[in-house]
Amino acid sequence: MAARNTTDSLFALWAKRDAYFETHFQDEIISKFSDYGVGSSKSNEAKGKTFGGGYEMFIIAFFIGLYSDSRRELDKSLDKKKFGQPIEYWGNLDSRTGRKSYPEIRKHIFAALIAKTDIDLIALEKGEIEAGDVVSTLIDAMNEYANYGFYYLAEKLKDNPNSLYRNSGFLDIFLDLTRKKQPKDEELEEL
Amino acid sequence: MKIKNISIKNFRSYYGTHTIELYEGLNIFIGDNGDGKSTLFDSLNWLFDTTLTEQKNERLISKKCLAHLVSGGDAESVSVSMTFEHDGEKYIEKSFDFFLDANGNLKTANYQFVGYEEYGSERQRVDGRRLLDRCFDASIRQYCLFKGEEKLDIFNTDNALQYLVNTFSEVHDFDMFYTGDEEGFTEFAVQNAKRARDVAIKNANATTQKERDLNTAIGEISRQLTSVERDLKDAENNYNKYDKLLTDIESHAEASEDLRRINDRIKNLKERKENTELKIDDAYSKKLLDDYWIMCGMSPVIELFSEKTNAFIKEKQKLEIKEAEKKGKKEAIKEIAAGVLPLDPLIPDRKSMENMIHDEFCKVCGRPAPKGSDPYNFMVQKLQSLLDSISGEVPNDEEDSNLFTNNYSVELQQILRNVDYMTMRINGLQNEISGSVKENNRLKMLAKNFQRSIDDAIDEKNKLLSKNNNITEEELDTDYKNISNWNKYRNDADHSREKLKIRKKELNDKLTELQSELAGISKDDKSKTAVLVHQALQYICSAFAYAKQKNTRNFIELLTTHANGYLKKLNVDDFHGVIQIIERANGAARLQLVDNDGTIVTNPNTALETSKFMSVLFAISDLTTLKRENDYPLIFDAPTSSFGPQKERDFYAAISSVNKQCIIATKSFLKEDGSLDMPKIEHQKGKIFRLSLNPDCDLEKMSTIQTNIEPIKMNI
Amino acid sequence: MHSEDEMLKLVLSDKNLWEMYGFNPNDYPTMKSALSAEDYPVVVAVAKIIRNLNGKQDKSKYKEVYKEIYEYLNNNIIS
Repeated sequence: MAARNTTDSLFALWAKRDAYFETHFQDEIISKFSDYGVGSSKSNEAKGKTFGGGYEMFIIAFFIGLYSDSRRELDKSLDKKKFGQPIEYWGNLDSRTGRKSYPEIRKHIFAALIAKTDIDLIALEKGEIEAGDVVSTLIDAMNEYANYGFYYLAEKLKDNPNSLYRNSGFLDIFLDLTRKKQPKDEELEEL
Repeated sequence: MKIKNISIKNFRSYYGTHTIELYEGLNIFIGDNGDGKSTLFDSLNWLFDTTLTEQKNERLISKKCLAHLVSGGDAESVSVSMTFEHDGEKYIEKSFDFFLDANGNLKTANYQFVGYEEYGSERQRVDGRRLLDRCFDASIRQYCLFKGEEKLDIFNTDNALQYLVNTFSEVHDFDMFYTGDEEGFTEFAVQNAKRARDVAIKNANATTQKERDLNTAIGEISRQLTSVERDLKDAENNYNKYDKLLTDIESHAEASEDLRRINDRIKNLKERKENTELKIDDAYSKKLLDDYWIMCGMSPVIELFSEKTNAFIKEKQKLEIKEAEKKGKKEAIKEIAAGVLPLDPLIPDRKSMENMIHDEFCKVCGRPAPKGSDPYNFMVQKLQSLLDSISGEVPNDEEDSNLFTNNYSVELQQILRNVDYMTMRINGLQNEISGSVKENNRLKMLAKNFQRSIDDAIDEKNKLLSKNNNITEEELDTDYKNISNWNKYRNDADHSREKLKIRKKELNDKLTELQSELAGISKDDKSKTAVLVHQALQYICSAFAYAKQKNTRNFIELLTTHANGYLKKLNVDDFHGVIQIIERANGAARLQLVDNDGTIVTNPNTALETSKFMSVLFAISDLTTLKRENDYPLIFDAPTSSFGPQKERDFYAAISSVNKQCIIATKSFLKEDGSLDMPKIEHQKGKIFRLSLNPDCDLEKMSTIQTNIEPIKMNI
Repeated sequence: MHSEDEMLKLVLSDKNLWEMYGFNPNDYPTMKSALSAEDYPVVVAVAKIIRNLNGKQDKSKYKEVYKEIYEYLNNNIIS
């Protein structure tokens, strides 16, 4: 009989990987808005940060890239860093932090990556290309979308350092990106 | 401790010897101004004075007695004594002699403070001071003797709460372990362990850059923490300062009704503002993730994913069908070869042909075909060509014939179903977001409006207070400004202390985190242990701080419960609220009355105020009873001078029901003309005495004045 | 002594302390039980501080007790 590769689903293989980013974004963005690099034992409120784990900042950056339909290759000459937290743990928050878990976001990121990359699914199905290589392609694409997002945020911070510290700072970005074609019907300035 | 009797001899107006048998409940001494109420109180106070200061005060001597002395004659004595029950019957007496010497000069001598107590059946003389300190020590006495109405507020002094906690709570002497001012043992230990840790780390050879960085960071945070703690203390002090100023003004304001109305309004508005603010849910960044708002633009991407997945699945199916067709043909050949499928009935299959050759008989034409004959050779040749025709096409079982080795299409279909399931939610997100933002903006506007109204009300209150502060027109404006400023300073202090508290917690958390990290990476055993020990001592120090605070809270809770039990019994003015004890900085506290609808009573009348203080005193008396396993008498001099007659009667009726020995000197029960109000007295439970001056005395001449004590009502 | 037990209970009930060092505060209602809590050096240290300070609030007593507690923790505490 034929030997079928049934060990791991593509999603599981992908979720076991970790994202990475250009190290300079740690100080420029990630640590500013998340608890990355400060441990995860305390609640977010105690530190007054917008987000919990550093990967949350990555998710934000990724969706900025995705909705802008723009990727940016990571600079080969720069240091890269991983979060130390594989995708499968993203958004598995426990209740003591007062946060909710969000497993659907992982699935949607995966779906988006499949949709947005040129993977020859037939070749994959035939076993002509390795699942591991496909996953690498997906991860690369994800990092590139996020990389675009990080540069976008860095620019935003440079233009107006306070804008992201407002409650609606990040939300405004997404409303902008997803409602471009419609006129703004709601002003989100904080009172 | 129960006082059984008191004896007073030649003490100021108490000329001669007066012995009073006391009741174990309420004892009332009725007297008008100047009749000797305060002297009675002072005589007991003198007896209870165990300090070692000069006690032979000439001013204590009865002037009438003095007038009877003869130069060089016999000595007389001043004495106050009491018999009391405290783990057996005991007696104390304080006395001194006085006489005129040959030159007519007044001399005092022979001061004594003696005690007697029973050992078995024997009565033994002991040191009076020690006996009193043992049975009725100074810390308890402090809460037993009260002169006048205004002295009843035991929280009126700084450190009062701290003192009470130290004296009466389950646990005292926390200061030895933790003071909050770096004076306690655990604070001392943390400081020393920190030094030991720093030295150990410095000495550790393998100190890495990371450790050095952490230590620098820890040092920096510690410095920040110290400064925040200092600022916090300042803010607390500031808050207390202005709070006291404002509370004082409030309590003196005449227009108490207006003030109460404004305070009610402010309280109500603040509550509504807080409730409104609670409803604001504008952690939008977290909602991006937690509520999936971030997926608000996913629809086109999901569509793309759906197209791609479906196209892939279709393509795969197409290829599979093609493959199946191909496979179907092969299968047929294979099966023919295996002899599974019958051939045309006219064409024998391989088996029949082999059988025919073996039997040398042609079943097709029904004739024998012996070996070597033409029909036999024909059959052999036919079989050979049949074998040839299929041999090339028979599939090899060992060879894999499947087109697809993987089955990711099923997985992708599953994910598609999954994300499709979310589509409805995603499509509704834009509305959900704008709805939520709109609602939050509305709530914020509402909260802002509430704040504006609160500011207006505070303004109104400041004006009212300044108007009622008994000042001239010219001063009015300055006073108003002062009050506004104080309000502002108090609020500023309140805000900054809240902020600083948060900051302090943040810094403490950060410090703990950094220390844990340091503990984790210190490779060198010695420095690692030093870090662990320091950390442990820090936790221990914090635990003592926590324990100290909790102990105070427990004590306040207990005291409050007892006090409210008494307040209910005293039930002055049909008041149904409760007493609250509010802890303030530096070991101080403040009492407040809260109505049963939750409003703070800012201007209670004096009767209510007095019953508030009395309730707390009774409560403290309860705690002393619990603590020392003994009850103690309460002695008051004119506690109810501001009470109206009706309130007074109710008050004493209530006090007689609280089951404590009380000795009260009062003007109550006297009619306007100075005669006794007998019906009221008859109504009262407890022993009642009348203090009065001898009728023949001349108020101008001290030497004629003499107080008499006359029992009026002895049947309980 | 009664008061020592009460003090001990109050200190050990600090959540930060028992969470950090993983002991159950209800297991140590008395000084006796706390002093023999060998698995939890921090519990023993707390009890020793309460017992050995012995009502004295002066620096020389502090030094003496500190030395003892430090030695004890140094020999017993583990991460």
